Amino acid sequence: MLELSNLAVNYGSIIALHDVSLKVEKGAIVTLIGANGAGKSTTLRTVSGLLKARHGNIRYEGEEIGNLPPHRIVERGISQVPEGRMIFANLTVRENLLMGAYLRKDRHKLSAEFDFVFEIFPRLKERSRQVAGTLSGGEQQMLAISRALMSRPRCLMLDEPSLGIAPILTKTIFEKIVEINQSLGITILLVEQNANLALEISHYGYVLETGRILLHDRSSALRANERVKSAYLGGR
Amino acid sequence: MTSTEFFQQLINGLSLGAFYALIALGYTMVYGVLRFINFAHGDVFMIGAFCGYYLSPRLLPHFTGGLTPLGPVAVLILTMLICALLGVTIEKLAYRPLRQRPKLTVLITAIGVSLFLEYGGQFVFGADPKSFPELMPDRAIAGTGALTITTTQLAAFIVTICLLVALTFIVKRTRLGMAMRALSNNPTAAALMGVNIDVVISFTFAQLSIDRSAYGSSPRDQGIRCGCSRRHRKHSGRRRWRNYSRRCGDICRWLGFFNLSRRDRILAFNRDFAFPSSRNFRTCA
Ligand SMILES: Nc1ncnc2c1ncn2[C@@H]1O[C@H](COP(=O)(O)OP(=O)(O)O)[C@@H](O)[C@H]1O
Ligand SMILES: [Mg+2]
Repeated sequence: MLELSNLAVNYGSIIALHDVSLKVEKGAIVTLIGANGAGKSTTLRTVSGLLKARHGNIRYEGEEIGNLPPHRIVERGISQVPEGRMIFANLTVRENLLMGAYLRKDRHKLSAEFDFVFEIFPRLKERSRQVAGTLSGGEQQMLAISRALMSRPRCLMLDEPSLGIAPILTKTIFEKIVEINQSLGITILLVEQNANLALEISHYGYVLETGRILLHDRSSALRANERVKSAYLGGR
Repeated sequence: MTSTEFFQQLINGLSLGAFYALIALGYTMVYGVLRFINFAHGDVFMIGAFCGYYLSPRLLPHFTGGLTPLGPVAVLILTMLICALLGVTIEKLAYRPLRQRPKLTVLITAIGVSLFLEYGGQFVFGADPKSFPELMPDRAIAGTGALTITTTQLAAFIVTICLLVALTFIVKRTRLGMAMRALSNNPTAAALMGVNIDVVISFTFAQLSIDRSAYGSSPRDQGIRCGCSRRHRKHSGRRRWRNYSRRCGDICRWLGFFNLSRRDRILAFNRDFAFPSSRNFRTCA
């Protein structure tokens, strides 16, 4: 469904990605793990069109999307939950969700979408009139995910959804990610530093190290891999 | 102070305040969405005034008989369109290429745009003061007792209120307004939602240019003039780095200009460009 090949990305003279190739099959949960600064966020930003690759291709459903601007990419059904949530703090929860559906032509009949995200995250419904900046960290993450779902994506990319969230909530959020994948058939590309959790819920995993894919395998195999164990799973 | 004087000053204050409100609105809108101070704000405003100046004698004669009241409206709308176009063009040519650069770069470019418009204006329109054509008869409204409210004051006030209401509606209630608020809060996230940033920013510029020009060409009975006074020029030559206060000063002077009630004041004004706010108030007639 989504395929990156030999992607190289710079920030000015700083090389962030040297050579990244990965493949996300339709309907799967694929995870991209790696240490801080490995280039995980850069990869997602490039797919979303926020950054332009120096070379390499991004193909989505068989078409090259590497040169499209961000709004065209959302239009095609790829949406991203950015690192640090990036909710619109001065807008209400409802308005944030409406922003998620910004490109929807049929904006007056979004009730199905609202019902749907409120069903996954009932807490947002109670707070729909609240200004989003006043939500707790966990609620903001729920909002960020819901907002990304409002555009009815076929591929959802999440950048460190566990960042800055209490472990118990992290668990809930990961369960929701699985639910989104299974009940809606949305393909998921999950970027995580918390490799344990990510490999638990995903089908396939890639390990990124300083801008290069170090290894990739089925998630269960990666969890058993000695190198992954010592470097990313806390040696357990 | 008598109570008549008090209410008179209140009215004067409101009509001047409405004017400041529009200028402030333009500044804060660009600042709010793009986080930079658009120094060229006052200059687009000046162009608006000159559009009004040149369009009025050409357009007004076409509106005769029952159509007379539509004349000023036509001038206003055409001026708005021209200024919207100018605003969008400035953004596209000068600011957009610098979107990813440090804000200071854009700021300095804005000063450049401002100087360009100012001296370009002097070149094209000349530096002499011109008296603004009468778009509508300026007379005191009857039935206000000892207070003087002129039709011009009233019209300007109404225009301001309409624009404020329209802008509030756009920003608070429409999809594009929501995109503007989202963009100002987090441009990256807005792009990830599918907001075409270029379109929204162009629209913001068009919108403000519209209210700038609305005021620039709104009915009034005073003079307009392009560029700096001698005194001011000397000053800015010495202290170019104080451009910010200078631009504010420019705007204030424009404000002063637009609110002068008698032509002879313009001469005085040109002789002495001291901060004019104290003279903007019409004293009791
Ligand atoms: N805006 C930026 N400008 C310059 N360098 C950056 C920028 N963002 C990220 N980098 C660099 O790119 C590399 C990859 O960063 P990032 O993709 O954010 O890593 P990760 O998400 O895996 O922690 C890092 O070395 C980081 O310092
Ligand atoms: Mg990151």
